[in-house]
Amino acid sequence: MNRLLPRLPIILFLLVVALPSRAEDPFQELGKAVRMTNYSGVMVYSQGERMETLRIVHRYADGMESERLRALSGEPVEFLRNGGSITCIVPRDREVQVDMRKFAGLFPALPAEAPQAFRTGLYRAVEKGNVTMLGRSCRHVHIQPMDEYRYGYRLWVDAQTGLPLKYQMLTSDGRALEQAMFTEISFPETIDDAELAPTLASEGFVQKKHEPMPERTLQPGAWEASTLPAGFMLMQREVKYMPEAMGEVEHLVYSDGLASVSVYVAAGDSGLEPFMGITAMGATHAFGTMLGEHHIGVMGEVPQRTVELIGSGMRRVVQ
Amino acid sequence: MSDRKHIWDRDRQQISELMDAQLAAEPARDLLQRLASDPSLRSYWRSYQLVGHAMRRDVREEESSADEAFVSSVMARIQAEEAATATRVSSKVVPLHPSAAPIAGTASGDAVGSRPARSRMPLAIAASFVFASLGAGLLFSQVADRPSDDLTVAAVQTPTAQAERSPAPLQTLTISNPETRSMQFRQVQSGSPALQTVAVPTASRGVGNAQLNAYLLTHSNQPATSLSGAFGLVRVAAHTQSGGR
Repeated sequence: MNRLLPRLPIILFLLVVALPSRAEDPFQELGKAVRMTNYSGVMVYSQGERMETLRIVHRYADGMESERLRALSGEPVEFLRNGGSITCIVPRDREVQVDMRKFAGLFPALPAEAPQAFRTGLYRAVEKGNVTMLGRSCRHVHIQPMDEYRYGYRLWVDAQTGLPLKYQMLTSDGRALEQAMFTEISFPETIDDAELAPTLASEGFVQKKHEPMPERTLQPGAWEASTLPAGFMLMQREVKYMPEAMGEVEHLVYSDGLASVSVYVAAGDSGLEPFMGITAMGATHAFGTMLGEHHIGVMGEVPQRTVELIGSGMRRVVQ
Repeated sequence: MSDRKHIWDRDRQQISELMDAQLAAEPARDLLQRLASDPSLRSYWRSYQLVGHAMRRDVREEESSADEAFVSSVMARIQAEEAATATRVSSKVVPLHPSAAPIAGTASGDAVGSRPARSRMPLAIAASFVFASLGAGLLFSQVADRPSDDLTVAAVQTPTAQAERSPAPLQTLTISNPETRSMQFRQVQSGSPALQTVAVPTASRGVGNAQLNAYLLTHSNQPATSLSGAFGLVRVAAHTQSGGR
């Protein structure tokens, strides 16, 4: 110990230098690790007073992800994901619904052109040290936003696999808007097909199948956000047919690399009443407004001021 | 009374262990079941989280005055909740209900959500979340109780047998008309003699709610939604099953 004391300043310096590099972008490899790891566990999801318990089995084999997720509390419901399709069994309605659209999964991959949230200083990642959760060593990482246009996060990431065992989305004063945590977890080397088979009975249920709808690309720049919080970039623009939302809708996605905001522009001449003003559900805020004859809907897991800012600044640049 | 106090103390200890991920699987399962059915225990669980945030003080360490105000408000809330809990411990068990969830930015103190003109996303969003994600059933689930004059009616097969564990042959309905506003289901397979009428809306007075649901689902499915979209399927499943209660 005595021999170490003279070197203590050097050791401390090395630790300080090393910490930011470890925490520089804790999500760089996180999504990859989650998608390509076999795991099975029980997860608790909570939002406000709501708390739900879910069983999750996830397998990565032959380049394809498969997943089974069953609610253990409340009404039974089960999701089965196999590659790009997802099936949902809803015994309450005696229905099996199949969605053939590509589903993003637990941790969707960011496109390569996504902003570098940590390198651009929009967030600061702070290592809070290692803790033991569920008998496993975890890195506790705190993601602090640098302004009030985005939320913070707190993550407990399994040191060996990269899977987050606990996750919280935080308000600016540090309270959890929502959180999810494993209460049981195992990482089997292989997972049999039987473990991914549905456990809810579905004999005789009606199956509803949703085929992908054709999407077309708009002329570049038909609509754009003239006011964006720092670091948000346009990541995607497309036209979707959304009968629940009055027909054809232009959908734009803005992201800062961690948070993302969807903007929907729909013709407002349908005679139907669109949502207006601010609406909230947990961490998700939505803002609706009319701009001429168009309805602007903005939505994301961001603070209210962010959706208001973006929605209020939408403008049409191509007539 | 002492037995009840013992159980309460045990539960509180287990909640502490659960939140630190130190509770073994079996007692964790039991505790989660009790949490799902006991509002007073849930109330304590939420208080425990608030205390944890207050004690850590690691969110905005530079704003000590804000922390102090936050801790004070938390402690006041905890005292109020514990007083209320003490009188509710022996009360009857009531199920979770989504209407109990506070709006973000009010009870949870979303600092940026300070404007008063806020509304809660319709509860239908929880009940029908999955239907928005998986097809056109959303509007149906929202307006099925309405008079059928604003609905298009399609005939589909209805199940006749009790379900078994293994998946059985299914009847398939395909959303066949995406380019028109009136959605219809086309019956692809049949086999059961029993028919059931399913109402599918051509228009809905509650379009604002349905619009929100559709937007929320589409947003959740975006690859660009990285961290904020994490646990998207978990979120969908949680809202789906809790909305049914």
